[in-house]
Amino acid sequence: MPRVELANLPAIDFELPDIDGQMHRLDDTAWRLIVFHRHLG
Amino acid sequence: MTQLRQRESEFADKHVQVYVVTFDDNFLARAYVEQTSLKWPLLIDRELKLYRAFSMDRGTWWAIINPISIWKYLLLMFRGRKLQKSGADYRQMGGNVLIDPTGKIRFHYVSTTPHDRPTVDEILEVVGSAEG
Repeated sequence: MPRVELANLPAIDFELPDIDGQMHRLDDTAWRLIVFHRHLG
Repeated sequence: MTQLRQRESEFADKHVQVYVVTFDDNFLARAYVEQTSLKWPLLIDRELKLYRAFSMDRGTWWAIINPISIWKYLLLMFRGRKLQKSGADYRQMGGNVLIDPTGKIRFHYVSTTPHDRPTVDEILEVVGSAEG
């Protein structure tokens, strides 16, 4: 599968729960770093 | 992740909110937070929707199981990290995405091996250069 380069494109919004069930959305007022983990094992 | 965590304060100083995303289940995620004392939010994406949205690909088996990655796992174990059996996809790769305050992706990095990550300097440089 060819790799898609997303730099300079608008980020998609998201809403995901943390381990306590609290939902998180992209905060649109600050820099955000999303670190995608591999499996945690 | 270790390098990022060692420089947590620099991200805070630059007002960068860090989110960590996993596709593992809540049980493993909670154990990971407790074991590593992770302070950043660990978000759970069981269906890999965000992984796919940001083009985080699956790797080949050779990318996962090769002499370098085996050596790095052994180092982690030597340092006291307990490896746990995960029911999740071993071939799913990670990566890093940096988004600026306007919502634009300023840095997009998809790992090609389990231990392939951008340096912290690379990430902070993008923030610094944008802020002048």
